[in-house]
Amino acid sequence: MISNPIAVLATRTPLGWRQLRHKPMRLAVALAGVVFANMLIFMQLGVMGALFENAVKPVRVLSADIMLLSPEARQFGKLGTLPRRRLYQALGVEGVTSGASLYVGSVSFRTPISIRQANVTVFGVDPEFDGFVDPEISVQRAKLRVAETALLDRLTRRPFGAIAQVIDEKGAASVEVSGRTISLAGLFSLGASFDADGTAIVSDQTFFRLFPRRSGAAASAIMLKVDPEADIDDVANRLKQALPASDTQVMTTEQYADYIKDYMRDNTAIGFIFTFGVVFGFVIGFAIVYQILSADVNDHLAEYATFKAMGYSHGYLLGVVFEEALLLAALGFVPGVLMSLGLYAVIAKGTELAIDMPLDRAALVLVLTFSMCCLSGLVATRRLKAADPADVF
Amino acid sequence: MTQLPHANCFGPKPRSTSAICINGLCHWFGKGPTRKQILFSLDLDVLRGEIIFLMGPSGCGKTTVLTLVGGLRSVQAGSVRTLGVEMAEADEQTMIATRRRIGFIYQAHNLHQSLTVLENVRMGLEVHGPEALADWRKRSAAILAGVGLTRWADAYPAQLSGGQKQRVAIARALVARSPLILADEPTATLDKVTGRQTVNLLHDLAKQQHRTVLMVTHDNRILDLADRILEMEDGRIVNETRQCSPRRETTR
Ligand SMILES: Nc1ncnc2c1ncn2[C@@H]1O[C@H](COP(=O)(O)OP(=O)(O)OP(=O)(O)O)[C@@H](O)[C@H]1O
Ligand SMILES: [Mg+2]
Repeated sequence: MISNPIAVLATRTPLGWRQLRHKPMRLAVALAGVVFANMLIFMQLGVMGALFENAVKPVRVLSADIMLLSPEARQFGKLGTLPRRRLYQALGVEGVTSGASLYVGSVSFRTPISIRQANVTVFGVDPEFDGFVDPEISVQRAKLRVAETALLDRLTRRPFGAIAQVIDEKGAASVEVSGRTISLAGLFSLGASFDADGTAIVSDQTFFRLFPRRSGAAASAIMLKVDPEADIDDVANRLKQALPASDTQVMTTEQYADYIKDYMRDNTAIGFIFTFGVVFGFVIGFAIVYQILSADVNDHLAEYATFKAMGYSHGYLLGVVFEEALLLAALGFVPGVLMSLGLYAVIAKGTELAIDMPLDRAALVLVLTFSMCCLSGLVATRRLKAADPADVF
Repeated sequence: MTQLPHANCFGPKPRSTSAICINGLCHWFGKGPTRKQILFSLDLDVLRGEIIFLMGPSGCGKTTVLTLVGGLRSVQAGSVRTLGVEMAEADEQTMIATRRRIGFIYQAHNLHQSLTVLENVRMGLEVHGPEALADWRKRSAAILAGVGLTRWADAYPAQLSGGQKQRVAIARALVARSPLILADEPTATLDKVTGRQTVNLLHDLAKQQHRTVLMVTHDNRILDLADRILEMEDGRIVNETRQCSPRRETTR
């Protein structure tokens, strides 16, 4: 009998739903399993995403439109160096309006009185560069023209970070860096990272005083600002043509941000641990849903065999199990998202990691949840073979 | 009792009047050395509208015959024509299509616990596709009235007595107007009175609507409801009793 499949769906008894509803305890356990798996996955993805976002933050805060990087460049802490003359070459490329080399170093800051200290990442840039994205930095960059002056990240870890309050109140504060006194003349917002308690921005001149062994000819990166009329990708392509790939990578800011995240996910311990956590959540959810669905199939074997004897096809019974699987996914996902949002709030409070819920992550977990449930359903349907219509008599 | 020659279904006429036509049916269970023959060259012809009881000692092969006729098991040797369809070497699709034209009633009612009585009956229609569901409420209500369960339409099977459940199973088997009913000891789990009532009901509905019934039973008290009684022993039909005027009773 060939019937319109839509009419079949529309008139079909929602057997999967009825079965789930018939055993409320079992349904509750299954949903708890889905929610739990959801929360596990969301937590891993959330914390991983927040850590990666932190790693990408300097790019977003500083960034010009395009960055020139050493071929060995990884995260922001591991940039390597490239020749500064690539900057001058780049400035000659059509569409590039300005640029600056960026020098990155790490040094210890200490307060003179209470001797609190912090490991600070220092960015050295030309104060005349007009390509900073962060308004606080572009407004205050003129302050850096004065030698031995720095802007400090107000999110620098405490206790040293408490100095931000002093700067806020008095307009400036002094710290000792490599035997010099540096004046902290303003604040901006970035956030602590794994390898440093905070970040400071200084002029390139000041940078070389703090890091006397660093040469101006070897920049950590080069930031370029592009004519707003020009297409960034076109300019990037022209730069790739103009600059030797042997010592220079050309990436748009977004490309570099994505590159950092991908690199960290695939090559660092954090990436491994959290990816493992996601897989673990998936497996746990799969196991719970599978247990529930196969128990349900087992309980209904006689009834299923009866359906087969009545003329229902094997496909119909598969449909019932998948209906249950899809329902569990859909019904579990909603509270899963809500509870994960709660979890994010708790984590944010406890760790100062701001975790948001981007749509693509929610979509990813939705897909994972449905695959998890369908996979459980798929395995559970193997038990259906035991429903032999000849056995019902 | 009279011994009748087996009617042979090959030939022009029986094709249209036979609901079931079995020829030289043999069946074995098991493999290798434990392989055991259960049915021995069985012949049987059931006319449309006939009510047949199949009796015999436990293990003689009655249920096996029903499963072969019903397309629930593949035929190994011989021929089984069910409602005009040859079941020997029938593919899965043909077997499924044939099952849909048969109403099965089992010893256990096998109702779906999470569906109401009405919904269980509806499942007997749903298998025929959306077209069959056009007036399902009317048809289900009518058949439930027929088995005296109108009041219980929205109850769940767990709320019913054994006899009531069996009556729901009958309603489910009959609702799609299947021309053939196969029943395997439908009264086995029922008490004397309920069992009698249940088979009475089946008998009346079948006679009203000209359905064929092949029913396995051990119950001596209901034999008067059959048109013909077949006795099996060790995989063979050994005796056949034709009852010219089976007693008619109504349950209502
Ligand atoms: N799936 C099977 N595998 C092996 N042997 C079977 C199988 N089904 C039935 N048999 C055997 O076949 C024989 C006939 O079984 P069948 O169920 O047809 O008997 P029956 O006449 O219906 O008996 P009862 O009155 O007890 O229901 C029995 O000896 C039984 O043990
Ligand atoms: Mg039997």
